[in-house]
Amino acid sequence: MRQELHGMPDRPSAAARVFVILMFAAFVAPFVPLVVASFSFRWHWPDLLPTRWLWNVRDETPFPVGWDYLLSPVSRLGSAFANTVAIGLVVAALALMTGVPAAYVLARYDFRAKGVAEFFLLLPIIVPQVSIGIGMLLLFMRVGLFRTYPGIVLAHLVPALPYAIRILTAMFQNLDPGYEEVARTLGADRLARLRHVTLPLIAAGLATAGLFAFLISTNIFLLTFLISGGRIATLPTMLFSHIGSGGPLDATTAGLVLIVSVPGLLFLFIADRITGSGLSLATAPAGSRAKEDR
Amino acid sequence: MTGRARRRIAILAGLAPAAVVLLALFVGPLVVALAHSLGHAPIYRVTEFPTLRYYAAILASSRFRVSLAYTFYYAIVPTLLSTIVGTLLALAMRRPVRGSRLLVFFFRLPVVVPYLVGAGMVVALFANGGLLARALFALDLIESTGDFPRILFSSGGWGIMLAYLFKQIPFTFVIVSSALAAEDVELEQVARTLGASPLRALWHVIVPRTIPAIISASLLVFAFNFQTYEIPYLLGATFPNTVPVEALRVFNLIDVRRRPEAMAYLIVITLFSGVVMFLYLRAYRKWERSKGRV
Repeated sequence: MRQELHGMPDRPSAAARVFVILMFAAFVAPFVPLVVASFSFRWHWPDLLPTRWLWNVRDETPFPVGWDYLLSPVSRLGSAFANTVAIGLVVAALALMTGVPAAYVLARYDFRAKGVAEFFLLLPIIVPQVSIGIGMLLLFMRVGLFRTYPGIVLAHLVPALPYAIRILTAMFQNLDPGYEEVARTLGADRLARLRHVTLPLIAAGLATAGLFAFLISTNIFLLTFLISGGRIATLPTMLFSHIGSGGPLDATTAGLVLIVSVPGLLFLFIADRITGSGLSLATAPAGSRAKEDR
Repeated sequence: MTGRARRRIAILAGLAPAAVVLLALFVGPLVVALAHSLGHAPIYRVTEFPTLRYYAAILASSRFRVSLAYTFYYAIVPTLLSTIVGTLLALAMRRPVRGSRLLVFFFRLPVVVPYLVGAGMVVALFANGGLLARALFALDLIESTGDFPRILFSSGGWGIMLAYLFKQIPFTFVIVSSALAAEDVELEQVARTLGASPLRALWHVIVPRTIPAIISASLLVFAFNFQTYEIPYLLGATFPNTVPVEALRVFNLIDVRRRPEAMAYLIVITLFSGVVMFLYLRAYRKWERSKGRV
C-alpha cells in the first residue's frame, strides 16, 4: 500500500501474468507443428514427430516434395503469390483514389445526408459477403468481368473501400486546417500548399489506409473464389483447395499455411514503421469509432 | 455561382467516385440477388416476378431452419467467448511491462492473416489423426483415431468455432486495447492512490472506457461469423451446416432453376443478421441511456 501512495504503478497480478502467458502459448504454439510438418516427408499416425524428413528423401523421390514442391514452378505458388500482391496493390491504389475525396468531404463538411452516407459506408462491412458475391458473379458474367483480373480487383474494392474511407476520414479530422491557412497567408499557392504542407501531414494516414486496403484484399477468399471461376489463383484460394484435399499434417498444406501468413507479417512490420507504435491496428475502424464515442 | 452551390458541388464531387463504386459493386449485386429471389431470373427462364414462392419454400423446409439454427449457434458462441477472453486479455495487458511489445506483436499476427490459416492449424491439431489425438495415444488414453472425439466435420462445430476464435480473441484484444489510452491507466492509478481497491478502480475507471469498443468488436465478430463460407465448408459437417454453405450448394446444383432459392437463402440471412445487429445496438443504446451516458 505504501508503495502505491508514493506513486508506484500497480504491477500486473500473478493471475494476469499466467493468463497472458497461456494466451501467448495458445496463439503462437500452433505455428510450431506447421513448421515441423512443412519439413516432414513421412509423418504417419501415431508418431509425434516425422519419421522421415524432407532432406532424407531429396535424392530418392523423382518428384519434388514439401518445400521443394511448393517452391518449384509445378505448384504455381509463385503465380498465386504474384496475383495476390498485384491485386492487393491495385485495390489499395483504387481505394485511395476513390476514398480520399469522399473522406475529405466527410471530415470537413457538415451536410444533411451525412448520417446516411456514413451508414451506407458501414453496410458493405456487415452485409454477408456471400450475398454480394453471388449477385456480383451474375452481373460480372453479363459484362465480361467474370474470370478476369479487373473483376477480382473490383470485387475486392467492396470490403476494402469502406475501411479505407474510415481511416482516411479520421486522418482528415485530425489534420488541423490552420496549417494550410498559415501557408496561404504566407503566399503559398494551391500546388505549393499541397506539396509542402498537406501531403507531408497526411502521408502516414494515406499509407495506413493503403496498407489496410492491401491487407483486406490479400485476405479475401470467397469473393475471389466466386469471381475467379477457378481460373485465377490467389494465396487464400490455393490454401483452400489444399486444406480441402490434404491430410491433417500434410507437408505441402503446412508450408502453404506459413506462406499465406507472409503478407500479414509484412503488414505488421511496415505498419509499425509508419505509426511507430506497438498498436498500429489501433487505427482499425471500430477502435477509432470507439474513441469518437467518448 | 453562390458559395452554397459551390459547396454542394464540392460535396457531391467528393462523394461521387466512392458512391459510384459502391452502388455498382455493392447495391447492384444485392439488387440482382433480391430480384432473382423474387422470381425475376430470365436467364434461367424464371419469370414469375413478383412471387414469394421461393421464400415460402425455404421457410417451410426443415433443412433451411436447421441450417439457420446452426449458423446462429456457430456465430454466437465464438462471439461470446472471444468477447470475454479478448477483453480480459486487453485488461490484463493494459499496463506495459517489459516484453509487452513482443507479446502484442504476436497477438496481432492472427488478426492479419486469412481465416484459412486458422483452419489449417485446427486441422493439424484437432483432426482425428492430428497432434492432439497422437498425444492422447502416446498417453494411452485412446487406442485408435476412432476413439478421438470428432471435433472436425461434425455438426457440433467445435472445429469451426476454434478457427474463428484463433482470429477473434486477438481481434477483440486489439480493438479493446486501442480504446484504452495511457491516460486511462494513469487515472486508474489515481483512483488507487485515493484509496480505491484494485477491483473498484478497474470497474469504475477502466471498464466504462472499454464498453463502446467491446460493443463494436462483438458486432463485427458476429456479423463475420454469420456469413462466412470457407471455414464451415472445410471444417463443418456435410449437413447440417451453415446457410451460406447451403446457399452455395443449391446455387451450384445442375438444376439452375433452383438458383432463385439460393438467392432467397442469402436475402434471408442478410435480413436476419441485420435484425440481430439492430436489436443488439438498440439494447446497448437503451442501456447507455439508462446510465445517463448518452
